[in-house]
Amino acid sequence: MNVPAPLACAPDPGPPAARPAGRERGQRQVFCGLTSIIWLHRKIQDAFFLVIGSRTCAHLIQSAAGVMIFAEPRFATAIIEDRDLAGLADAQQELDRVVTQLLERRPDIRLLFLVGSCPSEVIKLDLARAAARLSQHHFPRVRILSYSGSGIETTFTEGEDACLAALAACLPDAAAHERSLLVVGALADVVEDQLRRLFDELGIGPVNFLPSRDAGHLPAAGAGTMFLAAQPYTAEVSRVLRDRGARQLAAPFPLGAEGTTLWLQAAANAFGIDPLHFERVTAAARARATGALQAQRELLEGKRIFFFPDSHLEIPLARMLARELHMIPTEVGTPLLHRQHLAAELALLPPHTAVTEGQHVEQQLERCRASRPDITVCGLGLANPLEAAGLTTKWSIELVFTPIQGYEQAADLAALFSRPLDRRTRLRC
Amino acid sequence: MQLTLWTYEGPPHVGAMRIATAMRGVHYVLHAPQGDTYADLLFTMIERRDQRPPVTYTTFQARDLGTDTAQLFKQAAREAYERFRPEALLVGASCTAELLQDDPGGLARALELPVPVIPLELPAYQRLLPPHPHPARQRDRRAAPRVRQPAGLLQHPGTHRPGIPSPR
Repeated sequence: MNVPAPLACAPDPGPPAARPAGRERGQRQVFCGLTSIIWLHRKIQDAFFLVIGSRTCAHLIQSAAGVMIFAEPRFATAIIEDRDLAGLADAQQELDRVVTQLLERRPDIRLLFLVGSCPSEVIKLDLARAAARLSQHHFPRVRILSYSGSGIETTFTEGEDACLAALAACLPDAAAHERSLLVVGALADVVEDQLRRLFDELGIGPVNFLPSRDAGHLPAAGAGTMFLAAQPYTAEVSRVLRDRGARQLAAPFPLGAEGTTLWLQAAANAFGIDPLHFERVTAAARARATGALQAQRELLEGKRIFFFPDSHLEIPLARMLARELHMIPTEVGTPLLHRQHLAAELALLPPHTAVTEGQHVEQQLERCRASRPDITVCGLGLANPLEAAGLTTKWSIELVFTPIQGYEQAADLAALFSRPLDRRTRLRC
Repeated sequence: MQLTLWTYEGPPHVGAMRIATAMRGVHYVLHAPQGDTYADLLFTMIERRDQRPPVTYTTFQARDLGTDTAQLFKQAAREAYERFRPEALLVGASCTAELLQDDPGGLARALELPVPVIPLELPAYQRLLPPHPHPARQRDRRAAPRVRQPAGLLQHPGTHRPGIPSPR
């Protein structure tokens, strides 16, 4: 069976500062954290996201999530106007009025997030205080929390991190001896179900997911909680969980057959699962994944890939594509490099891969055009202009929306990269 | 404060971007926080243009607010001029930068660039206009008089498209 030998544990990441990374400052062509509302409102099914912001925020959410027009969406914007800027006391009163109006209109809301934006932060509108005040009126019918999704504080998926950090802070306390596993980071329901089945078969439990589909179900957390990050942009929520006494299990992220194995293994080791049992439970799914990846490798081996910074998924993706499909990452951009949080990933990344933190979009475009990669992962603002310049692109947001984690999705993840290459080849014929 | 459940009305600086994109030899330097570059996708995705709109953003973040955002704007304007060599430079602020009161027009003029600098005053927080049956025209009405462009330019194809297609 053509399966890489299972490692005893996640590789020693070595000193996290060891790998050099270029750092750039300049114009950043990235989404702000508000964008994560697009998937969070679908994932947490009775939550509502109220952005306190400007017409720009409303326009961003609408143009990025315009597909939602047929239903009452579970997000909205409280648009700040002239007179809110004149006095902050009035702005707080106005916010109370808007929230009351919203809750009357939508009695189905169980969890309301007040989401800070760039303008609400610049005028220092205290949303934490507003959430506490409004909770007095509406709790327990509605739980009201706040976080910042502003571009000043967060880049793209970091909006989810901030949202989960707010949730993590209000999880009920678990007794210290209650051992449980918490999986952190939004996953597609189908992926969540697959992983839960694997944990069940391994004998690991109870297992909870953050965020859960149901806002009413908040898992307890405490000293007996061990948690695994399922997404790379979970540094802040991880910090909150550690502060509550939970223990983080170090692992790469569950992308590809190898990444998924190491990720599951971190949990198996922590729960003292027999390695032979682990092998028995995972062997079939792992074999399916590696077999399917083998076919994709024939299409992708040796292809050069360039990542613009955007979703924070760049480093784990580059690791998976390099190690399991033998692609060559020429540059891996990331908005912010959390060395500690990504230590297990950085240890697996091929040693000479150029990692760039931050962005100067004009310089990066020059480098990209000069290196003429076979495929470029970038945001929606850059993709068509790069296609027009003869480069093949993949939208980074697609990698956020598509279920790509776990064994059963490993080949789907690879196909996201092979399809645009195949399409371009066919168009040339 | 106004509760807005869904709206197609964009901010006025996006109207100005449409004008800059509809002209040749013009570049727009926009003082705006990180994330406001989402507006580029209205042009590259929804209109499927093969060029990015001629817009440079300062994309400031929290750490910049602690230092000198005016300096950041000047640097962005200077670099944009040197890179794109426009015949005229539009300068302005998005809603958040308007609150910083950095005066993009004054800052850009102080650079003494050899091309006209046109400051755009696009108040982002003024009271919403009463509902209008044609949302795109409502948006354009606000941007139009301040930049003194013929109205025809503002009726750009793609203005009424509701949003990016689902990525799947």
